[in-house]
Amino acid sequence: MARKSSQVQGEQIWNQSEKVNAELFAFTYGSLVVKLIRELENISEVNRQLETMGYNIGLRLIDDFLSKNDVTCETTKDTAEVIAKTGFRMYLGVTCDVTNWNADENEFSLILADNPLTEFVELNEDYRDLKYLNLLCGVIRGALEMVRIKSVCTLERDSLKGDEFTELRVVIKEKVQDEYEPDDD
Amino acid sequence: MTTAQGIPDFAFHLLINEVIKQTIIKTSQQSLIDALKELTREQILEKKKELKKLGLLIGERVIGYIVKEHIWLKEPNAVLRFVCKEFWLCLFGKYIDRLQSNNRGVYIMYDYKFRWLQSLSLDTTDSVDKEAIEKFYNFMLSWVCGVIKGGLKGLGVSARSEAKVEEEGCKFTVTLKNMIF
Repeated sequence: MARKSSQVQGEQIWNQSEKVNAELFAFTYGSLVVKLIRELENISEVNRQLETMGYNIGLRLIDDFLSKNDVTCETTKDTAEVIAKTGFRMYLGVTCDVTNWNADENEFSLILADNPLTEFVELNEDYRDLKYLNLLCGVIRGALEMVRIKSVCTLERDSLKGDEFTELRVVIKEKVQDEYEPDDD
Repeated sequence: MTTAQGIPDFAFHLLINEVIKQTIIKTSQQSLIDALKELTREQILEKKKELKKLGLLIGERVIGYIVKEHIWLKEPNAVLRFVCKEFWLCLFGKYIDRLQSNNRGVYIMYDYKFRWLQSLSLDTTDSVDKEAIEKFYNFMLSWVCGVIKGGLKGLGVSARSEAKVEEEGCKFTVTLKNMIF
């Protein structure tokens, strides 16, 4: 799929959707993270919980995504492109770049320059282990799983921790083939 | 300073759904419907309080971002009008449909098309349970009440807020406590 068209598609859907205030979104996410930190008292547990919540979101997000987009991804490159240009544009209003492919073309990085979730966030030194955006990793994993792609997504670099940009590393483990032929009718 | 003007409703719903789910479900094996069914009266009140508190902080902060110039509204009616117009517009993209007052500090706001209720959906892996869904809506509304309360607090008014789903739409009741200014 051409790079341009997937971006345009994401933008169109973005323009059509009804929206809530971006600050409200950012604060809500922030309050969720704070709540988790208070309740769980263990940062790695917080990270895990965020990922799980993202996963649940991803499972449902993909339904909405597929109902609004007519996409077929033949290669992993297509998939990456659609996530970066359509998916992120559609739900967060930002696009990200796909880079750092490995030789086998089953690992790639999504580079996020800025995103509405971290708009008002500053991470204290005490929370260096916190993966603030781990939710996004979960969303990607959940959404991909519903289209039969098993993947692992991790937060490699984080602009909140002084890196220039945020990098999400996606590793495609396997693509599950259809086990049965679709019915004729 | 903001990169985006807004976030699609759908994305926000998914997030707030997860927030509420996280509040209600305590063990990971439990499904949401089961968790909703098992809640006792006291637990429901407690969780609602928790969500309200969460919303309160958010409302307070959001109002800080929409009050661009220094406004000093002395009159409670004006404060409520501000909430019904500017605050609501900012949060939900529309004005409150109707505002009523008994002139003794009780205000009733009606939103006939409360978008969040129209498109909020539950995981319906279990058979759809009406009662559970209603409970879930009420949890969501507690959170919204918290946001309203926070907004009012940010404007210097301390109040109590309640919400109820009625046939024609959503009804929010705001009861003012003593005015701060």
